[in-house]
Amino acid sequence: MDGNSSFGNERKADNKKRGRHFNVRTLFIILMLAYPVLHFLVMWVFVNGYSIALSFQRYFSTIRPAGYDKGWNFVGFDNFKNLFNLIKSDENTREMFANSLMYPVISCLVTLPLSIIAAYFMYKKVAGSSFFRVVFFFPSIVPLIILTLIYRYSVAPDGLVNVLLQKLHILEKGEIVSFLNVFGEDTAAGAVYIFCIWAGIGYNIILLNSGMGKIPQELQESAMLDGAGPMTELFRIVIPLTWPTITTMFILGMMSCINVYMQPKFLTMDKYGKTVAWMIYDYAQGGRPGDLGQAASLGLFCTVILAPTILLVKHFLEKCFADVDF
Amino acid sequence: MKKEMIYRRTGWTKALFVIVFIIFAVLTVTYLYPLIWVLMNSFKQQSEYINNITGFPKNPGFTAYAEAFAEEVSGHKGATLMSMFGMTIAVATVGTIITVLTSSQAAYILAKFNFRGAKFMYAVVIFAYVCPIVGTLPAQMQFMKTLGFMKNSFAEYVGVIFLYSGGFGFNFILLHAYYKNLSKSYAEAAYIDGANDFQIYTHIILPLSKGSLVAVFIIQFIGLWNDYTTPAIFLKDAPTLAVGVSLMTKTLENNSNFPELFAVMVIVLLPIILIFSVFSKTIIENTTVGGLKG
Amino acid sequence: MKAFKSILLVLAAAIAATSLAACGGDNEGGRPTGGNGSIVIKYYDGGYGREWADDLASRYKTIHPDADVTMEADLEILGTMTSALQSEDPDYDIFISHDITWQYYALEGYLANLDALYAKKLSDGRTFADALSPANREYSKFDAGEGEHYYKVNWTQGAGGLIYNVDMFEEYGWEVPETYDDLKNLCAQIVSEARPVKGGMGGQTVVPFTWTNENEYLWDYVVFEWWAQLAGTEKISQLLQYDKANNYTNGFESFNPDTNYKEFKQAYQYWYDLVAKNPNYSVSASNAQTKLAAQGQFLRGEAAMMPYSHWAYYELKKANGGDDIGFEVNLMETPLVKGTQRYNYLVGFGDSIVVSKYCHNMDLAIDFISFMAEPESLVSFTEKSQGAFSAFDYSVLPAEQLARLNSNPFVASVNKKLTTETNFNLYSNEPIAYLTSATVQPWLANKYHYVPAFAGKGTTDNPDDVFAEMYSTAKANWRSWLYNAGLV
Repeated sequence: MDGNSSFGNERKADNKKRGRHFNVRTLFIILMLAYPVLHFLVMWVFVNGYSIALSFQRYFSTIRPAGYDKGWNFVGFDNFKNLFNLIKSDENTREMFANSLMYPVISCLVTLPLSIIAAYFMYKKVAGSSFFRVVFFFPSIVPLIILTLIYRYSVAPDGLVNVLLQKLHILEKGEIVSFLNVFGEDTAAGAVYIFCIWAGIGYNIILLNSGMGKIPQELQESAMLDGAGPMTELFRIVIPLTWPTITTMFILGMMSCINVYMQPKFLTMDKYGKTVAWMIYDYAQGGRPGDLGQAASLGLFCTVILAPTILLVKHFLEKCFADVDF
Repeated sequence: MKKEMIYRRTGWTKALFVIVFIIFAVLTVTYLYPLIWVLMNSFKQQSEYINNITGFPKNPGFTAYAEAFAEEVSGHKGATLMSMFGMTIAVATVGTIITVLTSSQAAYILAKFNFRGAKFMYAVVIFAYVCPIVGTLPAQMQFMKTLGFMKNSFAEYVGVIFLYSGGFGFNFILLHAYYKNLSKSYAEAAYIDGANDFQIYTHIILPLSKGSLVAVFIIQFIGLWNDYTTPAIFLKDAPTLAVGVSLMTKTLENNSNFPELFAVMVIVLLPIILIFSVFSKTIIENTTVGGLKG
Repeated sequence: MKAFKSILLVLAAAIAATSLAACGGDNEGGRPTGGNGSIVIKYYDGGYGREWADDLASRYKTIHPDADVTMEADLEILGTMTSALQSEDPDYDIFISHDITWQYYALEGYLANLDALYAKKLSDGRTFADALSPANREYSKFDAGEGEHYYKVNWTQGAGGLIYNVDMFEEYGWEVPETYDDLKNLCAQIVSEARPVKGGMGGQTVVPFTWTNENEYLWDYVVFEWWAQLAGTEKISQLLQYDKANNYTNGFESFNPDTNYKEFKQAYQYWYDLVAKNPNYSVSASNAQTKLAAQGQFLRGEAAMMPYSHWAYYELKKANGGDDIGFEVNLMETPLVKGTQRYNYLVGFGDSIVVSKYCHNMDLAIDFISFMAEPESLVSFTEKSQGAFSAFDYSVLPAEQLARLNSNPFVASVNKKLTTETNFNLYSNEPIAYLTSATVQPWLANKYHYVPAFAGKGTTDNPDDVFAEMYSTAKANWRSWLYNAGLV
């Protein structure tokens, strides 16, 4: 399909006829791509290369063991060895990885299925669906800091939900809905996940809904004629036909294990649920050169594990249903 | 909406739809009621909140708003809510215009011109999007520092715009899909009339793709408006709203001034709600992801 | 589309307006004009408020009208100061905050040598060094590879422990506890008397403590003092060296619960037996409530005591909307678990004043800091912060000024603790402590157990487990921490 709609073929024909046109075209392509490619080379290729180089280095100030220079030193795999030691024996490091791994689980296995079901009903025009669409989308255009604040004050032990339930005598005075409590050490993690679902489901529904909107009408009508019930229609028609969207969302969800940090940080006021991204953000924010090698090697370690996993999952998911492309 | 698309809902199907409706309604309440509560609390006195958390304000007043408009971000003289609005507009608008433009250039070329390496480039871009390298933030910071982008607030502003200006992000993927499906007949007609590629791009392709560009613009604009990480690290001297409000929150919590904090939230939310209520249709219709076939 | 166009137009106009405003803002935000004669001071924007700083700057300006001194409060000072110190044309010359890793900055060569400041004569003829206690002087010296020099000034001396509602104690005839057993009995008495909360809703009675998950570390101020009573300060300062003599190789032994940490464990046991095992002694949500909630409970008289520190009065007043809190609050001398020797844990001993190496006007900076040690600055600092004492010697103050300070009963109770008890701190000057991002601390990685122990109602986080786990964690990770600190 691509050959037909591109100018490549006619270009070859043009070349023979008009050499000058070829030059203009080359110039056009070069000029159009110059900035994006340059930006990509600098911010992706170079910065990533630099980061990889950093992960094999250590920085020392005046205090340093014998055999190292002041400033940057290449140390081979020492940073990684140290990281592995920490993974082996340090509870905090292991907790950090465990916390990070929970986010893809939540977003791929909880939020995404829930949103598929919700989007289906939205698509089938449950009463008030156009109103719900607007309301559900709203959280995703609110800055996360505001959203976390609203949630935090709502579910705080002395906040909206608990006080309201106490007033309505659903709870005794002093009693709280503890699984929502972002201030409790053992409940904080769960409360943050609930926030992620609450805040993220609307956006997912809209994305899926727009994917479902592209399903050709004939297919639906034929399903109707066959007398398919909602479940059959959802699993036989809607999900297969929105599979590219679902695949993309699944992959984006997997990435949450390396980019979520604001939700636990803002909600628990820097107390609970440290993630890899949080750690790296703190290193960067602190600006100590001695920490940079550690951060870079932590990042590289995650990439080496995550990148093949994502590619594998992507490959597998794309195989699930025959090609659909609307 | 055509009638025949809707089920003749009978029996348990009908019950199912009612249950879903109830669940949706409850969810709606969890989104909207806290907003009303925030609004209500912003009219309270400072000493009232601690003893009256859910009720109506006893002596409603605008003191909290006056304080909120005057409040400066700790450590940033002159950074009030209004100046942060300005900064956020300056960052989000310029950043969005540039990145939409560069994305459109790159997407158009890679979608419509079959030169050597085009497919490879597309594959690299998809790979880079799907498999981000983790933990490059420190390296990025060192790099920006070396380039002098972290000296003063103006350099920082330029630096942030530079960081945002990439042409191979998610916008690229959306626009690439759009250009790929764009009929070539308009461009061909123009070739015959003797127009060159530059003229075709600026006079035909850009106007043709206006709808998509606007959609991408809006989505990107919201993203940059709300972005926290980039300005928090690279724009330390001139906070945007997302960063400034998180700093303000800490100060106001330390001072136990909750009504003012709620007023800050209302002030930040108001323009978002206004703009959203005007454009909700455009925004929602254009919020989409396709496949990521590389 | 039309609506969109008009919004774009509005946006464009707004950008034009705001970019102009932003440019104007740049000058305001950065270094004020006034050339090299000016200095800008950034200080932590927390529990002591801003009044003391405004007063300090304005009094200095009255004496030195030509001096251009600006004081800026910043909540995020710790996050921004590293990059500020790295600059050769820094936006700020002096930094005042808690938790400044000044030894690290000194090693990196970011800090100005302050020897001249310590030699400077104050208006009454004493040197600046004389105005500081020996401990305060000692911990400000550091060898960053160029011999030992002063690189910082301690900022405050503080006190913590339990604060209590004096009016309530008097009304119900409760004695301020002298010993740990007294405290235990008092708690039992408060619970059994079941005094109704005034103005409270039906059936609510006064409990001994309220506290908050947000600041569970406040219990440390009680527990640390029990630790000092049990172990003595000699042993503690020894273990804080983390096997320095042996290149820190076996520093984890400092955490050994059978030897070095024995008394710390016992101190925690005292807390555990009193608070964790008696859930009815605290407001039930203490393990899971915000600071504001706990403050509110104390202010409304729902609890008699609260773990806190010298910024308690200031914060309680803020929580009360700035109004007077309506009853007398005192800081309690921590009840004795052993002997009669009282120890005061110097809260905030690590608070520092440091000067950038590229300070724009070193003479002015030195003169200004020395001004902070002048008697009138001491009085003003304590008065404005309503309970904080700067690190200088208050005994030189004339009697009537001391009396003025002590006229606030809360300030008087802090002052009593500072002046009559033996001050100590848990501050380690070893690189393994200051180069590991707050990992090697009395509680490893500042991981506290007060909240989980209370939440478990005395069935979890018991002292044996907590301290055994801490020791084994330290042992397993010690080499990694040495690596992170750049020591191996």
